[in-house]
Amino acid sequence: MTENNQQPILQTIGVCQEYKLPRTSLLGKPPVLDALKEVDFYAMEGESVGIVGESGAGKSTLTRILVGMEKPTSGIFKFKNQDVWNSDDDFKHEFRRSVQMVLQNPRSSFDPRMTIGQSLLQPLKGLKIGGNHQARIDEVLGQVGLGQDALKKYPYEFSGGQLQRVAIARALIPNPKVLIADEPVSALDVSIQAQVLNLLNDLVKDLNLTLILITHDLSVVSYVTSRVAIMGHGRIVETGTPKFLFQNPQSEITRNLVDSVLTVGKGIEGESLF
Amino acid sequence: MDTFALKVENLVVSLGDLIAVRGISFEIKKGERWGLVGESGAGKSLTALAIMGLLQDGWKTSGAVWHDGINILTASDKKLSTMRGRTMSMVFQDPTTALNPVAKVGNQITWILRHHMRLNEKEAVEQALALLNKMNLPRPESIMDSYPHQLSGGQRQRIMIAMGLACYPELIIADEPTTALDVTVQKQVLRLLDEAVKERNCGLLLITHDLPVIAAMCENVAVMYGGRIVETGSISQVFKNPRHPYTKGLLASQPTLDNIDLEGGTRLTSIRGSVPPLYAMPDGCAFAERCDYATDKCKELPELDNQIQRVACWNPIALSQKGV
Repeated sequence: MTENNQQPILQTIGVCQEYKLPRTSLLGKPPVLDALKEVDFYAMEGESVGIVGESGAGKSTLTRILVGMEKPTSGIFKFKNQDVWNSDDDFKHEFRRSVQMVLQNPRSSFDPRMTIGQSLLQPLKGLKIGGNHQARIDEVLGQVGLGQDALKKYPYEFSGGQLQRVAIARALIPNPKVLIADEPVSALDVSIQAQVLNLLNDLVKDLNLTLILITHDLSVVSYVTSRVAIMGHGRIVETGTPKFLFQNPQSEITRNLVDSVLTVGKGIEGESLF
Repeated sequence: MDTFALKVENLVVSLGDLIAVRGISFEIKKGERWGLVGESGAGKSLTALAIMGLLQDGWKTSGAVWHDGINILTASDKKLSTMRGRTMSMVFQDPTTALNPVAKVGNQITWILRHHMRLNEKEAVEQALALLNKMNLPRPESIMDSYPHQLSGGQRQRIMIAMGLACYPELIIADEPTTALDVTVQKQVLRLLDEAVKERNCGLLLITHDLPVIAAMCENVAVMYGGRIVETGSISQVFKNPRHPYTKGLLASQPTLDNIDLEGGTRLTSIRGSVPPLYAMPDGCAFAERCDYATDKCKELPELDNQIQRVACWNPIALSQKGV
């Protein structure tokens, strides 16, 4: 909103997503679950945006649409102001290369039988990217603060935090414009969470990435993103800077989320303990 | 009966050469709430399982865990089964896997009551309904008649707590009771646990990696690292003026909403490195390689000192002037 001269790099316009549920009667139509209801979302180039909501709010469905894993039932999904699902193959290829994702649990997002070196080659092969593959992998490993010795190891040899670094490296390999991180730290220990969040912050700055951070934790999002979209019941109910949202929550959903954040030194009801 | 709900003396839990819990001691009085904080691999869950006598075959223990006048580590399975769910009970992290998926919720609660309290069917059902009512579950009758998969995570965790409380235990062990739940549900569940413990005056051992949860729920806390307690004391002492560099680092790396002037792109304080794996645990202080205060002395193992706020560190942080 602040940079009016810029185009959003990712944008959804009136996106709805419906899932068919199992039939409940033989004759009637199967019931439909509205996972997303007319969602308008955008992310500017170089911006860090947070998407926050409870489970079932539609965060994951929106994520799947933003990475192009699902075609919305209705509405338009644009990358660089062009409709992704009505574009030629070259554009789709550019889109897939430019939008990469980091998942919640690094343990389940690597093939346990591949070395890290093999895993990191996959995006280069899959996206048919030319050039010196080994040099690219070394460069990216350096960016996430890992050494060459990581390449020969298997996923089980890493701690959760280290493996999440590898997952970030894998996402960075095709030189993306947008990085979508779905709960990147909720499976990690507290002392490691901070390391990974700092790494994301540094990467966004150094590589001029657009970061979309999906989380249920409001306190995490305020450290990384400058704008937050709060989701509830398949809609975006509120957007704003973290500070504004936390101080003036307008909707019930936001207020609930803000209230549910526990802080060291405060009791369950928010009373000061010491 | 003694005034202790639980007394752990130099508990060691090991599997072959791997020592996961390296001699920890603490006592929980009746009505007292203890928090056990630590990261994964610190040994907190194994401590809980050892206390409940639920360690799997192959794990060896030494030391003693006293509860109700018996050493749990040496008690027979038969004896243990009369205690679990009766004088001590456990609330597990993931209610989805802890409840029996093929039995109705109501039956799972009444079984405990009938087994331990020798109630008849009708009395047990009445008790179970009363428990569910207390857990703020709407329409308890229909919940009694549901299978676990038909309920939400928050409802299932409340049922776990109800089952834990059913027989008025002296001790409840809650291992990450809210980690699997939505943030908005977390508070409700904690509030219920808080009220229940208060009302029944039972001891609580709350195990979690979540510092704010411990701070809100407990009176005393023990911080575990590498299988040992590295700092212990009252919540206000430890969380306000941490003496161990690890505790200080943990508190600093906690994201909060307090410094809300953040506009994104802010650096958090972090602890460098990661927890050493069990097979490579150093002989000296396990935290030394990540610690800014480490000296040569740290190659020797520090023991807990004898201050009120006990710390196992050669170079503890001095208590600040305004400290108690």
